Amino acid sequence: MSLENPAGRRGPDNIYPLAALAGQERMKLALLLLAVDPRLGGVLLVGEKGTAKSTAVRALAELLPPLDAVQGCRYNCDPGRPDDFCPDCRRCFKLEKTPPRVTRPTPFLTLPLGATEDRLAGGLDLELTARTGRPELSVGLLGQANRGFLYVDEINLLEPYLGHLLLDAAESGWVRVEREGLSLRHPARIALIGTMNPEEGVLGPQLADRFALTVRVIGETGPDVRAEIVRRRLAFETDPAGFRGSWAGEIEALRQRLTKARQRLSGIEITPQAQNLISVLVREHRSKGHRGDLALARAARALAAWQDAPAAGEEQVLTMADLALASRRTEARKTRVKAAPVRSLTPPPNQRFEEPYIPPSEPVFVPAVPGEPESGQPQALRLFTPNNGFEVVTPTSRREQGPRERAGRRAARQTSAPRGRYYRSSPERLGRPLALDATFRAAAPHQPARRASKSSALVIRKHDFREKVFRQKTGRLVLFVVDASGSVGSLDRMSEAKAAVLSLLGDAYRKRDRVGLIAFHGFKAKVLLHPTNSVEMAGRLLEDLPSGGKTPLAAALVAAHRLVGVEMARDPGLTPLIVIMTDGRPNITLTPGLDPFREVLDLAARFALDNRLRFLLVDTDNGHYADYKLTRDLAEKLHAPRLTLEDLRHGEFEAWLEQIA
Amino acid sequence: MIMKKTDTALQVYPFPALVGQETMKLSLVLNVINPALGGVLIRGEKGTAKSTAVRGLAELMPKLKVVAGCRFNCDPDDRDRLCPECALRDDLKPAARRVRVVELPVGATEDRVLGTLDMEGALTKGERRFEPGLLAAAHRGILYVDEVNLLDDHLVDVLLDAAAMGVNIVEREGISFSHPARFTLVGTMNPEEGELRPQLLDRFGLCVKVEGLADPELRREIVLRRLAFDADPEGFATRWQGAGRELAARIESARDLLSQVEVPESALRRAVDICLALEVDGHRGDLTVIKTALTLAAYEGRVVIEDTDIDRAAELALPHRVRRRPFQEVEFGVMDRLNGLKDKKNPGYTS
Repeated sequence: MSLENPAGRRGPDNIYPLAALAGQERMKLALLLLAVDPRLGGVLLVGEKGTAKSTAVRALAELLPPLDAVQGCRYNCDPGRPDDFCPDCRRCFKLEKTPPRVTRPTPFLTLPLGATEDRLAGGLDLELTARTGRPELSVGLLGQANRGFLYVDEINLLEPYLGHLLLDAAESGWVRVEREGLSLRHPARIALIGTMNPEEGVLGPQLADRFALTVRVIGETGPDVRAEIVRRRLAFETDPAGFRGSWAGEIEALRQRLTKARQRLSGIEITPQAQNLISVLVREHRSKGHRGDLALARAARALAAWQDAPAAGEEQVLTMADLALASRRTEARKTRVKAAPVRSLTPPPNQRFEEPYIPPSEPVFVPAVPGEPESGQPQALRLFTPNNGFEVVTPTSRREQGPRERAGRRAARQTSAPRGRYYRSSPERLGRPLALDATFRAAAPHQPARRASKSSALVIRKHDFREKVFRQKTGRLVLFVVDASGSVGSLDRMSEAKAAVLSLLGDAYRKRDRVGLIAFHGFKAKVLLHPTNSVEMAGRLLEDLPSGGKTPLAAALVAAHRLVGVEMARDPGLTPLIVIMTDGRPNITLTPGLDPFREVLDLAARFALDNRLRFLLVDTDNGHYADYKLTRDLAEKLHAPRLTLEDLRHGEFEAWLEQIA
Repeated sequence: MIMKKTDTALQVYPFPALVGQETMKLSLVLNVINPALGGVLIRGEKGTAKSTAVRGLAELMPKLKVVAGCRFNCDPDDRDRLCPECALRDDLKPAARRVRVVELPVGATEDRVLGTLDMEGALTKGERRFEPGLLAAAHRGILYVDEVNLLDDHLVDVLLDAAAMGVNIVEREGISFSHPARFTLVGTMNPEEGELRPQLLDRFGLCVKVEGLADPELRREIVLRRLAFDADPEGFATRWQGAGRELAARIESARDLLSQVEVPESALRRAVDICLALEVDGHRGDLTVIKTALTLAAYEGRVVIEDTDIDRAAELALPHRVRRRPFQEVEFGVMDRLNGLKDKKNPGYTS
């Protein structure tokens, strides 16, 4: 207990002063305005790596004026606002009593990505509870940060569950703790600061909306500024204390300006002209809800206070408009991608099969081929048997070819079920690893009773056991099935198709999806790339992809089917997305004698029965042979939207991905 | 028998005995001289002595001054960056030991990396104590991740957190604790098995490529030395001890020299111009080029950076920072590319 220390608080000598940050004026302004008026709610810094985002955020802490709090209160309750008291303060200080005051630094806490639920929202205090036998709360970060700031670096990578807790607190300003025998509600008025690199993924819209101001941080491009940045940074790293000493005056000036701005804030009004301007701007930006108006109004006031202007006028509104509204803009997106029809488990009445219809629940999933180990999970569909006329080549993956150590590790990956991040615990006994912390906490209240005969050790009973709940962040699987046949190649569309796949792969990669690649031409459908996140590999393979020959579309469907089957067996929760790029002219069958079109449609219909799969059909032919071709029928059988290469250029793939997510 | 086996396993292949791969060796040595470089990412196929080199590095490490008995390797002279335990100590008794190379296995669990609730303390005393993890062990040392591209996503996240702040903040399992965690990140990867996430890629100061050697003479030498090592590890190590000491001494003196190296304005400009011409994201590239050039000069016993130092540093510090199209590979030979650019247009880069 004595070892606890306020997270993230360090000696000021390690802090690079905000005043010494060269350039990045908008970022600095946004942070300072949040300090002027924490009721803005939050500032989000979005930008490429290495643009001093984190440096700026951490520099803000030392500038914050201290705060008046109730002495001894763990939530920094404001003595002047009894309505917002925590349960402790409410109990101790009825309205007639005046609570003793104390001045303390404004809380500035960091929420690390590896945090668990109990530390964010609060959980049982193990030591105290074991001693007293009464459930006692160990205040979480949300409570500790009340009336202060909470910083999340790489906020787009935050576990969604923790994001929800954060959101709940941000919405209401309160946290309800209903866990581990605790039941209470405490204040949590928090100013959030988030930083993120958009290359690593997007931030959920709800959380993004909580940030009043969003700054796009771009590296400085002027050689003089850049040189100055490097010069100052080097000086700081060589002698931090000396560097800070030389900036002491500027640091103090900022601090005082901040304090003054805060005092001025309550007296600042928004001029009627400025109010009109806000409504015009918000309408122009098509901003959803009223959060945009509010954010812009507050930001303009904070700016006026910061600039020592008499009121928030049009000038202030215009200065802040971009930061407050740009991220809320809702693009009027062309909705050319039609929503995929609702999939039902029974086939539409007019759907006909060569074979009797098989309901997807049972025989479609042939559990396993004789000789292979049985498994409870449905294995890969083995509906399609490739014929001798064809070859579905699946290269042994590099990992499988590797030395035995490698194979072992791979096997271990699959058998060790609890992988990923431990973020909360559960009393349900499913054989997961024991969550010691939660188990101890569960046992804690009973210690005085159980200890009667024993020494001071913690006594654990079976029903105290808590297991760890894990979540593994897996992106989706996007499988590209690309037609490299002569009909595509000869029309010189191959390079265009390749370029399209490359850009699609790039988009999938940015969202941390795994991508796979199957190409088909001649007599083969070949798995060029097993699902991976190596886009470089995919790019190189695509570059070298030869084209020409016949169009074995049926074989490609079989190969795709097998591949996703294996992947789904490995990860039952997976919902693969399959993008088929073809001009839709199959001319060679799996089973000799069948009509190639008929065969493809048949396979497609059965493929589509698995409702975990989502398909997209890209017609590489720009629709010249719309009546002749099969792509339309194929798309229908797969319940897939059908796009042209032209559509892809207009961002329809992204729209499709979004719609599916 | 078992003891003997363990002994053999402990004997690492001596760093100076590595044949070829000069760029990789240089990048590692530079990081030992100057831990502020931010580590190195070694890209290459299997069997190119990547891991051998990193493990061999431990022997060359200079001595480190630590607080005696501290579980977090605190520096007794750096009072601003003490762990909570040292902050409570009355006197910080110094002790010396070698810098560590701590290996982070790709399959590690989060609690092993970050640290966790000390079970023994909880069970026997009912106390909530913090049990340090790998990040604590790696403080002021080297954190080595073999096959870093296969590291689980959630481990990458926590690694990024710590690497960015130089502090490991633990808010989990009922524990609220933070301690300094500044480490040199060394990773190896085979790019064919998947690319690194952009944010993690940027955390590596330098990036080098290793390839299998083509020269038959050198290949023969590699095999011969390896056979000699396998036959008699101790004897082999003894034979290379002299070379190892020499290199360690050179590293020591470079470390001492480092603070004296000057950065002339022209060198600074050159670094910035190169980064601008190559459209390097952010400002970390500029800074790393300069620091690398500083370290190169110190390693060669000079106190002033020359233009060639900047160019060589750019080759080490920029390959992974140059802006790429979605599928473009990490390209080495950045100076060649720059010269190509220079021919086409005027990038403001003056040679």
